[in-house]
Amino acid sequence: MTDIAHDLPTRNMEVTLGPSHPAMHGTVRMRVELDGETIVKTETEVGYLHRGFEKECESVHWAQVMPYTDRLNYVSPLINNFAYCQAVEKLLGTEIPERAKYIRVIASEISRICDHITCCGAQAMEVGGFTPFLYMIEGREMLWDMIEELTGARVTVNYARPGGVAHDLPPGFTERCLNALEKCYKLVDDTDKLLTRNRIFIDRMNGVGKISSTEAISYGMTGPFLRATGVAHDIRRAQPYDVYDRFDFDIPVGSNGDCYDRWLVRYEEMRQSRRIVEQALEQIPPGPVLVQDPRLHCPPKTRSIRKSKV
Amino acid sequence: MAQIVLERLRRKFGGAILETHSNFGNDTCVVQIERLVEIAEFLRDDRELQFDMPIDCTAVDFFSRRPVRFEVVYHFYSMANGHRVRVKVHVGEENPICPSLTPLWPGLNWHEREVWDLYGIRFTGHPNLKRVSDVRRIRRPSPAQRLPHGRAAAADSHAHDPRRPDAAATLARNAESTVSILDDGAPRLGRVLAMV
Repeated sequence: MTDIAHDLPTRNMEVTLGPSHPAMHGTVRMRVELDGETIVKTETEVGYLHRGFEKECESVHWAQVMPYTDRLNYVSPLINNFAYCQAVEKLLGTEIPERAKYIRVIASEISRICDHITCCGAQAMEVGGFTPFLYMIEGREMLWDMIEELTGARVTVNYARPGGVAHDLPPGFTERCLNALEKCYKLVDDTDKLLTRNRIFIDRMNGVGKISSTEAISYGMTGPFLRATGVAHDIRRAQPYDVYDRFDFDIPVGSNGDCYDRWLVRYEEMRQSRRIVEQALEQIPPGPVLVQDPRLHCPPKTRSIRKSKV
Repeated sequence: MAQIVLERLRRKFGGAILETHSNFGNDTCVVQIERLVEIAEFLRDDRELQFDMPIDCTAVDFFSRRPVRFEVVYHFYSMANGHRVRVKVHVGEENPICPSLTPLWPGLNWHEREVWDLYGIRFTGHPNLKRVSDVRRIRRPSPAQRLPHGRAAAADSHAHDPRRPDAAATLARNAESTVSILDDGAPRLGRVLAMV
């Protein structure tokens, strides 16, 4: 450092990032205090995303909440659908049919892959790799095609029902789904080759955003975030719901809790999710997909028409 | 499974645990607000319990119940045992204050701010009790006003709609049964529920 630079008075600069910023996925505002290029302090304002979901639900019938749950996460709306349904079923004490459980697992795992693909792709884009992002989004589109075939919509699916799912798998779904996964994973593997051992990428990821396991737990973190810190906790294994206890899958765990570990954990989880989907498609039993409970649904039309004496 | 948790709490704190139940397998205890921090600390630090993960903090507005109008609800999870517990405290309407648990679990920070924002419950000892959203929406009339057939009462224009001669009367009835609760505080819960 020259003498002149040493004598220059400097002070930290405060930059406001967001709420609408090209690098922000969603609306969030961060007030960042910078010392040169180093972030000294951040304050996050999350309120811009506050939609008053519960308040919204207060004013509709419990069966009408389903479309709202679609909007909680646009990449994996199905998982939110199912989570809400499970709460309703728990309150009613309803056991859903076996086939519906399998369909839920298949749909959830495909959604999970979509989620991780989006996250990894965006992560790559954020550090300047735009090509992997396009690869990943192309792969996601293949899976969203499957979701569309299953539910009738790419994003706003509204597919789950308390007591099961809205309708059965379409004919030939298994082959097409395996095919789509095959094609999608080609792209995922390509991206893996491009980035995971890439020196530039590792330099940008390694040691960034480090979180210790104690911190992660006390902040209530779950999912890949928690597992990247080295805690082998997966709710699908710890407290299995639906039929998750019947599948063979591994739980990837990181060691440093930094961005690079999270990348690796997400990547491995994508592969494990594929294993689960394949097993579920193989094991899925025939049968109804919606429980026959007059508290939840009208009886099938044919039956009610037959019984009514018009 | 975790009746053990409630049992342990009852044995340790006795009268400070006002009520316990395990409906639908959710272990729940209502505790004295004065001893909330102490009980929470015990839940977190006790060797057998180890509730190290905060799951949620929210509040319920029993808008016709006086004087204890609000209930603040905490959910905790134990990574080691896989237990879950729900801790509730009663908060009165006059001076809605609840001790903050953010110093124990930093993850509750935003949750408590949200409760403060939406319900006006002040958390003492919170490091940064600022509103979460920029919209001031403390204690809206609750539940949201609805017409019987499920449309929002805010659509006042319907009141003068010649195609719907009953709309004005419904609106008036609806307004009477919901808004008046906030005016005089008289419990008319039964009527409101009938409308919803």
